Amino acid sequence: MPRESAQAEAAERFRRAFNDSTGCVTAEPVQIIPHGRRLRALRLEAELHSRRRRRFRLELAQAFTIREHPTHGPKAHTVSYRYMLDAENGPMLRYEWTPDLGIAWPHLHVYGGPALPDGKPFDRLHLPTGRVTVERLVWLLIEGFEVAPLKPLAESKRILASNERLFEHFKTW
Amino acid sequence: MTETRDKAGRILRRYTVREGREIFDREARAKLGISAAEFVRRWRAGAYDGPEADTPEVTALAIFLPAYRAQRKRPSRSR
Repeated sequence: MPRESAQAEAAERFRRAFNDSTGCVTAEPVQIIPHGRRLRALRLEAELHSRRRRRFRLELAQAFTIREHPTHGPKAHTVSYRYMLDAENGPMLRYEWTPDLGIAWPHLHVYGGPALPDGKPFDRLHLPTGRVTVERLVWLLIEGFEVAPLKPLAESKRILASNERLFEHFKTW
Repeated sequence: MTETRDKAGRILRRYTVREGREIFDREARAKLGISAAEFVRRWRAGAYDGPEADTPEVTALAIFLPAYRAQRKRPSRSR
């Protein structure tokens, strides 16, 4: 397969996994935004509703490039991500890995906690998390925030587990 | 921008590289009141290196910064 086609296929596989996983909770459009020669960003904004009629706003963004895997050929390589969840009365959670800014490691901001000893708001803390996949976030939305899945629960679990296994298989760190 | 549906019926909005640049610029102006070029210039100069810099507005734009890593004098910290 020509190199360009193989790279396009790798990007499409990544997009499909993102689609399938987020499709467990929303049917909102996915934006595919290229930037520069190699970078692509997948973005999604959605209103979600819990089974108890609470509303949330979700913003997902994941930037990736295509790199050569030593054994599997071209594969998508996440280079940054940002997942933000707002409640009706303001922001709640922000998972991010934006290594081009001051904090290079994946972390979480939590809103609404107690003020820190120096008086700064709790959300200024960078709570270390390790890499957080879209799949784990979507499962958190379903299980923790009771967002009604768009598919039967067993199917949603299967999709998320399958894509999570793919991530675990291919991750480089 | 082209809008299509995948096999599952999900809408996909694919933008061109030029549109991607326009989106970046539009969002930089909306979130920070500066152009994307100015945001990148400030980033290159280290304006967003501090731990307080990752506000929601800045991190929304930082998604695009990996495209500029080769241009930065200071190396980005990978992990």
